[in-house]
Amino acid sequence: MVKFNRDTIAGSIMLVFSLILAFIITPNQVEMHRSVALLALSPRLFCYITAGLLGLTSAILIIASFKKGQEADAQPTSWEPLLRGLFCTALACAYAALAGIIGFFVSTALAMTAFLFYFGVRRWAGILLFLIVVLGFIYVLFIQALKVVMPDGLLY
Amino acid sequence: MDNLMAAFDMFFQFHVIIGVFVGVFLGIILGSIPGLTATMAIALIIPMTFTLDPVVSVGLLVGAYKGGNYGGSIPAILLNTPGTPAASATLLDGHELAKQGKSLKALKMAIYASVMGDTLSDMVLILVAPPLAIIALKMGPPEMAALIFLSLLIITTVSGESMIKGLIVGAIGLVVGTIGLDSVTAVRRFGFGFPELDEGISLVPMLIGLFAVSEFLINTESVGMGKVVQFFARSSKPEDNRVSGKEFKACVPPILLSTGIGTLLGAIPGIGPSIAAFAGYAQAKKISKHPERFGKGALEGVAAAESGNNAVCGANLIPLLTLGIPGDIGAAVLLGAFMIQGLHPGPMLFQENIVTVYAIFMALMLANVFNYCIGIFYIRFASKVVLIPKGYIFPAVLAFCFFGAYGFNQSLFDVWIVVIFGLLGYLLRRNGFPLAPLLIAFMLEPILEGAFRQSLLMSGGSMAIFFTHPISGTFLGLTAVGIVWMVIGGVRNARAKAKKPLV
Amino acid sequence: MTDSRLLRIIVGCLILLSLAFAAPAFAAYPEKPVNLLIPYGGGGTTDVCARMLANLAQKNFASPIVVVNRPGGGGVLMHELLAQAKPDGYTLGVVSTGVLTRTPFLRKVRYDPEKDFTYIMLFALWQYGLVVQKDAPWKTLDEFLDYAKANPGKVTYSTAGTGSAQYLAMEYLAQLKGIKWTHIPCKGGINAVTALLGGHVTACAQAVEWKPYVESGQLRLLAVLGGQRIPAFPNVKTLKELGYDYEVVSGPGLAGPKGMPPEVVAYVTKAFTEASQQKEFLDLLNKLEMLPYYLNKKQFEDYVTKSIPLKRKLVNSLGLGYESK
Repeated sequence: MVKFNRDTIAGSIMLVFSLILAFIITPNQVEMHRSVALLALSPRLFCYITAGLLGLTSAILIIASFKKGQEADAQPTSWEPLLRGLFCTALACAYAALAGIIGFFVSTALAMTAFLFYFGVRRWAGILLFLIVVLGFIYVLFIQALKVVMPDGLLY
Repeated sequence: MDNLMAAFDMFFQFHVIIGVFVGVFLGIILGSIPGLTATMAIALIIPMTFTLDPVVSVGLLVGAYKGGNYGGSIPAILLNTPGTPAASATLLDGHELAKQGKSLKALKMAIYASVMGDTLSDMVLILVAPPLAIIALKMGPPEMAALIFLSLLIITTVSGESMIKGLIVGAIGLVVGTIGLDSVTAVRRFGFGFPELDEGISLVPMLIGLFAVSEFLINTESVGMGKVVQFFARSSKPEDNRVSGKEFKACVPPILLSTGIGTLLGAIPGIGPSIAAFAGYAQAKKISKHPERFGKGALEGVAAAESGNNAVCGANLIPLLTLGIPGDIGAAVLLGAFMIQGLHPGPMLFQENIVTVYAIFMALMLANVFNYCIGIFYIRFASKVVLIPKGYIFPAVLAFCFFGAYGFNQSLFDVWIVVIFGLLGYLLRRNGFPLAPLLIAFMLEPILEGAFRQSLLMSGGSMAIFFTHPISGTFLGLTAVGIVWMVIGGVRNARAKAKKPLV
Repeated sequence: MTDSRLLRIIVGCLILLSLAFAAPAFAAYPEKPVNLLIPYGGGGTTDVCARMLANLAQKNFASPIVVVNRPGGGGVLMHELLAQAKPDGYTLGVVSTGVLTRTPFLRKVRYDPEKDFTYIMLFALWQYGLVVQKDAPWKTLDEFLDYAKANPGKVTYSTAGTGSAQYLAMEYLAQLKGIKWTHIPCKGGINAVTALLGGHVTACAQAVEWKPYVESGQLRLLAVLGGQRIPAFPNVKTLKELGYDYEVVSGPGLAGPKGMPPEVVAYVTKAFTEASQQKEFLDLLNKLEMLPYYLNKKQFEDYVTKSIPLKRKLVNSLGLGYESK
């Protein structure tokens, strides 16, 4: 199997994205304007220009990565850190989703506990103290001072 | 002279001074918490100013504006997370310095540069505001388009190690900038069924995601389960915790240059402090004797970025007071506050309300003094943040990011923007892509596109309009020179590398 | 302090906190805070005047009125939220006539202005006018229109955006007279006025952002686009007075979702109507360059039903409507 350089992969993803952007997303998501005769007026003009720029620069990156070739990427890349990062992204998504369902403060408390645990905090008193300080500060600042209205959740 | 005395009477009152103090204080605190911005504070202070008299309320708001612009640099340096969009350029070198244990040195330089930039640009405002207002009038669509074109060159300077990666990220920024209603035909673009996207992706949630959440995710990688990790240690050597006379002297030219750039860009509505900070940074790198140190912890980089963004504060008031044009969101909110007070910015303001205007100028200068005093005191306390283990800091930062993003428009949609851009920023950084170009291109795209298409409308579709207008022609000429210079430099570098024997 | 004692204190605090949030007993409307949604961000003129109105109405309101900014989609987002809210009177919104009667034909929206709202009142109007530079050769609207007709493609005018009320007025004139001119959409009204001041366009049709310059003599007001003359310039005639059957009526109003109980509507109407007549509010409107203008529930409903077919026809005949594509 040919081992690809990381830049080659990144460049290819961007190149594919720019092609999808130009040929599928733009025609579907940007309406043409009936009264448009001039190029300057077309709402799609800059969508095509920017997609083109992205495609062009990605192609250059791919070529450059081939030139660099085998000398780079000598050290084997480990997947484990990336998996950890993606796991935390998933946790953050869950946090955002729960905020709309069970309420912002409750979901924050849950998410904070999970992340504190993840970061290695094991003292329960520490976690509780942290929650009270952070949530208390947020409550005073957002609800009392700034009068932000929180989304309706099942719990507060 | 009578006017000045009357203005002084109006200004030198206990509640005015307290108002300015409270404004600066709130601005610095809110600016220094990642996820919260001074603009938010200003928008929400406004209802409280209904009953206050004009000088107090404007002092309060201008104080918050200035304090917030400075406060953003504190988390940028300490946590690699800009507190406000304007501080995005500060982290390029500020956080590198912090990693070397020199966080206090960087924080102090940020205050010196902020206050200097702010004061100098206030002086320009006070002395030559009406003549400078002409700049804003002369900048028609073709001039604006050419200027933005020139500004896009900044991307090449902040790209870090790989120019091509910087350009790719810049192109992504341009793509993201096209989302939202088209400015000329008002046609929906990339709506995907969300009306929230009609006004484009909001800057603040995007910034929070891109920088703060990606930093959070990067840090989750290095944490082993069950192990408490500390931040970098602060150096105990006294010379690492203060700015020496020699270092300060070296920073004066970049500060002056960057203040000049910030003041000019501030006088042109629409560009804003973030771009000014990057532009100042880029120019400081060009005039520096050691450009290779930029991005690796150059004190001049912090100085240039901070003086650049704070210089915009004063200069932004030039078009605001003389023409009533707000240069950025913060200034737009200020304009509303002026209106509530019955002060109509514009040509008549300087004739009808000159005493109030002078009193406001005095409040501006006082805000700079407070900015320095509160800042110097506050960093001693704020810099202790890094003594708390990372395990506590990062979850708290994430919570503030989510609440801050939500609070600005009270919209859960913006929280999702934070998550999506957090992931994007994380993946980009992991693969060695710089983030600054994305932010710059994203902010410039709507102005460039609007101005470009307005120009073509005016000329009936002919591109000649950009070359026949003298100002836009000059900008385009400068752009061409910049590109040629860059290419020559690149070729030279490549040759120098080729000559070196491969190890 | 040991961990367990700290823990007990913390738990105690939490119980106290949860008590504080417990729900109050039931009573007649209003028994809990009422949310007043605003379609734009904080600090704008709509925001400021709605907040002042809410402040004044609070005096006659038994529960707190909480002002909530829900900007997005040029105001569309809030109108959609309001249309979908429960009609129990606890969600009210500041609606904009433009978003109600124009936007639905320009873009696809998820509300029907004729079916989805309970209208309560219209409380102010924005004032619009057509201005040119002071050394321009045209002294009246007719001279300007004649010049534009004789020189097709030469005249450019700026507004705050395609599809805005003032833009429709200009295109109405163009259609009527057979004029070909170029519209330059700007980002925001002040930028549109600046484009004229800098000499980048021939004319500007905009809300009163031009007022300071007309007062200082740098710009000349040719005609008022609204239905009433502007108090500061009593000599400038409106379009109607000049013989064109068109007027720009655009302002903020108060509404709730369809199906609000009549007693709730009456309660809200009373509190807000009184607030809108108070001197403090009228003073604020004056400072914000808005015209005090009052339409009651019936008049507001009539206005909406009457102007919808007119706007639809105009928008579609200009080729702007998404229905016409």
